[in-house]
Amino acid sequence: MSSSFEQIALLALWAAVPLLVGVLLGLDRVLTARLQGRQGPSVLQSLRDLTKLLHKKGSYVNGSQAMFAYGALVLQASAALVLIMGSDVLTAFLLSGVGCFLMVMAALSVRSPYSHLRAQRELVQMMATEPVVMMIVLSLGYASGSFLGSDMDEMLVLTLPLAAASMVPVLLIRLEKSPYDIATAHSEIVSGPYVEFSGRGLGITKLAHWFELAVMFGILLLLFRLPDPALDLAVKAMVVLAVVVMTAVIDNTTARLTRWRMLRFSLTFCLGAVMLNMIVLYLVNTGVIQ
Amino acid sequence: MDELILDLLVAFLIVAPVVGALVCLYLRKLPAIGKAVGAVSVLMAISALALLSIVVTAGPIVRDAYGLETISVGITILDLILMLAFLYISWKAKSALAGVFAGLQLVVLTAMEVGGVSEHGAAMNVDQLSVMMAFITSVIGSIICVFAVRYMTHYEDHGRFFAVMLLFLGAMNGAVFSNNLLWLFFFWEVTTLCSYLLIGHTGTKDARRSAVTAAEYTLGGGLALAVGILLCHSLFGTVFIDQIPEGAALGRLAFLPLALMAVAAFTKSAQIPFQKWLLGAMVAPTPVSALLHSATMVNLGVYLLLRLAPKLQGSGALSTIVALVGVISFVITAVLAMTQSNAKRVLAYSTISNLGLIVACAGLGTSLALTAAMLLLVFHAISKALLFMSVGVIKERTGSEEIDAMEGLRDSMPLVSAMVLVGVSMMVMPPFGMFASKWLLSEAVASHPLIALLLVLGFGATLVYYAKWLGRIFTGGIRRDRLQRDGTPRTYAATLMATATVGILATVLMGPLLDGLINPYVSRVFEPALQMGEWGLFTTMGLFPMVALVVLAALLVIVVILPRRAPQVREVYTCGEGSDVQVGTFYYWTEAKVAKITWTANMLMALLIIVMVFSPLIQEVAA
Repeated sequence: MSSSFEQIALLALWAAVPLLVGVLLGLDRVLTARLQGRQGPSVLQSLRDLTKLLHKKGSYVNGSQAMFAYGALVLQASAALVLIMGSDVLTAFLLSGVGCFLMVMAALSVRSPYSHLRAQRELVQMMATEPVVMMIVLSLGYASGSFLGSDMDEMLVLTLPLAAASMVPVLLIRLEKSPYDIATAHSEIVSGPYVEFSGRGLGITKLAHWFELAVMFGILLLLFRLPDPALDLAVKAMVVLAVVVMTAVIDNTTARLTRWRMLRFSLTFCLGAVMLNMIVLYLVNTGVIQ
Repeated sequence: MDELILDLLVAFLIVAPVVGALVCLYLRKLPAIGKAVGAVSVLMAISALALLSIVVTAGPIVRDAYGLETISVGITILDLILMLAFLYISWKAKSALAGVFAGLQLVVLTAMEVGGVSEHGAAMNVDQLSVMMAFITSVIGSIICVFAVRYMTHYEDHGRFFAVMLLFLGAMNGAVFSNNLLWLFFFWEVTTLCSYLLIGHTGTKDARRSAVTAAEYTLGGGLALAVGILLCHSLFGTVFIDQIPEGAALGRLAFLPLALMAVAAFTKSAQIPFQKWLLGAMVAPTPVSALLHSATMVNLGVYLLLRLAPKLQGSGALSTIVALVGVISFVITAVLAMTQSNAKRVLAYSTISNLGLIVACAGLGTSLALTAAMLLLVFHAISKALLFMSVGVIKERTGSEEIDAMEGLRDSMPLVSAMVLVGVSMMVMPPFGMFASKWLLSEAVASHPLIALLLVLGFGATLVYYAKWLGRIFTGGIRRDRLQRDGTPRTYAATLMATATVGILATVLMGPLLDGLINPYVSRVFEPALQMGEWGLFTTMGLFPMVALVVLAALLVIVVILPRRAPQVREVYTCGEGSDVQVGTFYYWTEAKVAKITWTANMLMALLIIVMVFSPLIQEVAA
């Protein structure tokens, strides 16, 4: 059991999740700007946007919309907390999945075709990513014999390299980046996914999304655990940076695919890769492969 | 004294509904029937609770066959009458298939009775699993019957309808208490008869056709069960479930009766390729669907599998195939549910899907899986009853079961919409039981890559089809100052809220549910793997901090959300295009594609089941 000091530190880390994800997204914006030969905003721009939104009054269309959006935030924040405290990864992932479900409900609860289109697209994205990430979580649990984040083996990436690789397309989808920026799809959906939210409501949905990203990154980082705290932190920071650079580069060098191609790619290649990895591990564990 | 109380309670649960059924037949007038049904319901619910508390405190109770010979003889005679009734029905419906099945059942039964059956053993076994089932049947089933009293005003022939409904409940209770396979078989076939009568109740051409289909499928399953019992008797020399030797002690051929019983279970629980009858049963009045899908019928199949799960231990190919049948049914029907536009059909597919999960658990046969199965069974029954009854109320008001016609019901029928929200939440949201069992099951399959793969795909699809349906109901325009008066009739409101309350109570009392019912049953075969701790559920591999999450959610709501002033309410923006818009939904695949996939799945699964049945034979020959 970790000491109470450690627990407080972890709680602080949870509270800082919006900050960290905000900076990460800011970094991504800077990178994208540089890739496109622009100056770009400051690293803190995403955070400033969020604080501005949260301080605005905004408006809602009806109570369900507000209820589902807040529900999504509560679930994603709880999921992030469960993950950060080193508790059950599977619980965290399932909670985050229900959070996405509620976000879809929030979009559907307004009688607006743009909002509904977004919700349907989000559903396809969920179908594309949920199974892959869940399979990764299951293989994490299988490889270490426990689903508790704090009990996971060290450097699982060495046993589950394909799981780590599959997280890249998944993060592209969850970060709403091309070739899988289906949910936002800037040109044809006019104003993006959260079209019926404004002001604080929009901020809430953004915050929920950020916590969800934290859960996704958290699951990826579980593959890179090291015993030495300093080394552990350094490796994890490098992994996150590498992923951000990678997604920014992919985002800027690819055109958007259709959602069906996304679904097919994700459910064949990504899920297949994780599956392959898990079967190899299974065969090794059962002694078929020495 | 205790024995007397016990016998009395068991009798209340089996005989009282039968007496109630006769009274209904005699009364014929709906208001009078309503009172009778109400009285029987209350009696059954109280008896079930009393029996539950006895078994939880004093452990399982067995009732020796000694002294019950007259009942055995009575059941044999009733069996014969039942078979003749089936023969008559198949002759009248011109269904050769049903006739052959019923005839063969008659032959098998006669062969057994002529050969003589040893009756030394426990005739009845009132253990944790049986009382759990009896509780579901008696409480949820009774609520559905009360619901039907109002719903059936639009239909005719009330005496017969309620007689069959009550008989159904009695037969279910009888089946789950029977330790004697012949008794179980009798009650099993009574449920077949009841489902046939209820599905065909309206007498329209569609209804009659569906009823015959249902009879064909389930009689086929009944035949498999009868042959299974016959083989059981000749191989093991017993017809008592608890005397069947456990897995490891069995060899090759000895798995054949178990395989046949598994086939019978698949037909009752409508697993692919036997799902057609349950989908066709949608033509029946909604209370019938609610009863078939939640409190009775389909539960009986998975009950038998859970009962036999200890015996399946170490059966290798057999239990693996059972698990595969379950999980493939789960994923295929979950995907097909996404393509459906009729709410009742979505629910029907989701029933097959959820039962598939339970079947898969029975096949996996680990401590975690068995625990998950029992949790699933309880929470699925409750939420499915709630959802079906809600659809019934919606149908009565709007005249449609189409999901697209349900747009904006949150404004016009707030109570019912809230109930659908609760029902769906019970299926997908923490901290409800389904979510907990989903978590548990995922842990259980972590060491089975193939099953895990199918499972994760199915879970994804499940979220999608519920989101699509719930989303339509909650699609609304600008908030009005005051909600419209709901106008839901009082009987409906009361039964819906009662079901929701049972669901919420079951979630709150998950600790006692585990300690009192589920773990004692699981512990007969395995080390119980799931415990309720201070902050939530935990296993050897993981932790589901249920209580902690509820506390956290409450804190977040109180500290962060409530203090804010309510924001302004504004009309839908729709990018400035005005509110004169229509929204639709995606159904992904056409009906033709669905039919094609169904056909392929049926063929595949039929093959799998044939392999399952013949694998013991092949092993025997090979050895």
